[in-house]
Amino acid sequence: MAAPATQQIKIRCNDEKEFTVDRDVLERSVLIKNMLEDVTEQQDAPIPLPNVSGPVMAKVLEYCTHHRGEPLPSADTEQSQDETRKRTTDISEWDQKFITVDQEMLFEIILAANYLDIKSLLDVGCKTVANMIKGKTPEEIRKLFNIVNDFTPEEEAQIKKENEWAEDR
Amino acid sequence: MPCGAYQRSLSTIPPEQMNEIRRRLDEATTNLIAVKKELKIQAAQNTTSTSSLPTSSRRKRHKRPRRPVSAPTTAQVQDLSAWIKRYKTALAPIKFIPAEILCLIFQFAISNEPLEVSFSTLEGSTLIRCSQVCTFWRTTVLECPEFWNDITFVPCSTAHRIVQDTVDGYVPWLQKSKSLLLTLRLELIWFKPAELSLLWSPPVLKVLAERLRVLHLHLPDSRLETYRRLPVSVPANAFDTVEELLLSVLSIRRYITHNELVPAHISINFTFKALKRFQLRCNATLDLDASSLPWIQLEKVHFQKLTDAVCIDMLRRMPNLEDCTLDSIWTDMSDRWRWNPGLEIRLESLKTLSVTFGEDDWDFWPFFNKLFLPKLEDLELGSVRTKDLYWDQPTFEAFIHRSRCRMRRLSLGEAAFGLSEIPIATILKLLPTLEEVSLPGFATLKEWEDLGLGYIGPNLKKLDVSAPYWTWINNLLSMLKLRQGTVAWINPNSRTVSLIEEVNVTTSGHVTWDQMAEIEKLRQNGLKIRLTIGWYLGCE
Repeated sequence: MAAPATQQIKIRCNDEKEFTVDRDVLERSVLIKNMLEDVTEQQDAPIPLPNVSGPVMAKVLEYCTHHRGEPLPSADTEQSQDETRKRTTDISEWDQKFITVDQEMLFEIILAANYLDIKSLLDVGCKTVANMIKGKTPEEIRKLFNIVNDFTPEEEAQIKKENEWAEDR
Repeated sequence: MPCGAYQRSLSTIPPEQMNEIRRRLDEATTNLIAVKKELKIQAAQNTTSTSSLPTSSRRKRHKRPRRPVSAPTTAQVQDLSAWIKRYKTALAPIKFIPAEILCLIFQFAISNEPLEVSFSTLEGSTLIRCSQVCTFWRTTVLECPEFWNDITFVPCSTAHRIVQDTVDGYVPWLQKSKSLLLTLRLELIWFKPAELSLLWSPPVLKVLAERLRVLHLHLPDSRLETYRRLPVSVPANAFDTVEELLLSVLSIRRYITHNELVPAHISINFTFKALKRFQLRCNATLDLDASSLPWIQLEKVHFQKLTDAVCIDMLRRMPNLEDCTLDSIWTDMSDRWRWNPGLEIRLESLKTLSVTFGEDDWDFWPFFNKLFLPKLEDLELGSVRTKDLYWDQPTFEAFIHRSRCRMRRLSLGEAAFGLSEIPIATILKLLPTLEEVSLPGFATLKEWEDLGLGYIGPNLKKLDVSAPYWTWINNLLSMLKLRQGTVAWINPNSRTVSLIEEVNVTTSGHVTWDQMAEIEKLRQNGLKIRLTIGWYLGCE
């Protein structure tokens, strides 16, 4: 039998930080939803989330609380492979404000959304990074994300060749 | 996951080591600030500009010996900067993102950006630039086949060698798509027949044809001859995996005058066994009887710049059609279908019909009068550019009575410009199942008692309407009421209540502060409400 929507659930993060949250808010996470469905009896022990820290979980819960009640994406709404290029990078006004955080927090949120299986939050995070990448040269991207150019001379030569081919067209 | 097969383990650094790197980074940053400060002081002391100082101070300053910038301090800055860069790289949060998430990021980054194989476009492509950032990003890009199965081929030159080079060049890129079915868009407007033959040559087709899911072919009508010769070198079943076919034949003569149009006749000689979606944009005449398209299995069609007679001929062969777009159709006055009272266009599976009017005159209502669409859910009559579409209320009402469809979405576009309250009320009473109503050109509005929109049924979720006068906005707002924390649409005439979700209002008139406050209140209670001020200008 389904538990009432107002049921409070406790979760514990990897830094021992605990949150008590409405069940319907937590159920935005498919991982937690499945865990709760697997548990038949009500338990007082908090659900351990070893891959998420307290500050990140606080942000994730802020997102889930704002979007509570919205329909969860079903398998039918998953985009098929031929629609790769039909995705948009539009982000709603609230989501944009929410995701305006430093890079460390942004990627932590993406990883947490992936771990907790919150597709809409994962999309918001990935769209934000995609928008940061768009229109930038490889060097600008490296600088933005502190990435080292680790290509071997052979790979560099191959890249140069690819560019030459493209330039010739 | 987009490409779980390429999932790579995360770059994991033990927490203790992370903390140590962070500590060192903080320390190096503090040191760098201190060293830069020291350098600044030294530079200030070495400067000769002392004009702002009092005379006595200036004298004292001049007496001080100059201290040169110490080499070790400058070196220290460089050293610390290098270390800071190393620490930041070690801590770079993007390093912890696994390949499958990176793939998703790239998919968003290339959204609506086809991989266009033409001059300068490959280098400019986001995907290619991402592949040149580092080895991990390169592997991720190159090993995800979804990125390589959608290609637009636009050769910049018709020179034989360049075409050959381009073909040779893009085949390796296509091979990255592995076994996925392909989307191929061939923009061959400026091709000479010889180059087209090259492209149709068996080796190229061998790579492509058997794996195509989507084929878009853009040709000028002067090249149709080449297309007609294609079956000679390619077997009839070459395109049997294609689910979507777009055939666009551009005629330059079309833009001169109708009288000069000499339509070419084309036939489609391939079996296209898997075809479900078909788009035909051309002024040429399709030889329907000679074409082997599987008409009966088509689910979605888009016809553009065809005559109404050709459209009718094709539509009558498609009993399972679900989605139809008619764009810039024009009247073939020589055809006599309109005077055949027994002719009916029965599309018993059609759910969506979209009609967009173009520059040409189309005598639309006789066509509409022949339609029988019992499953129609979504009707859109799009923009009218140069010619007003007069509204034929009796024909529209007759259509609703005839088809008895349960329409969910009705968009009358600018066709609604000539509509007044009474016909709108009649239409809405006949269509109580409507969930979305769009009347962006609805201009002839009267007083509250006559408000046609008050007859919308109980399922209304989205309303898109123009309100030319500020008093009318009051009427609209008076129907939007707060109920238990949500917004409801109260229909005063049909006496029903709908849980509305979205309202878009365009107005050319004034909007008062009270109205703005009311709109904000509705927005705060969850209604997606958008107010556009400016008649058809789209400025907010």
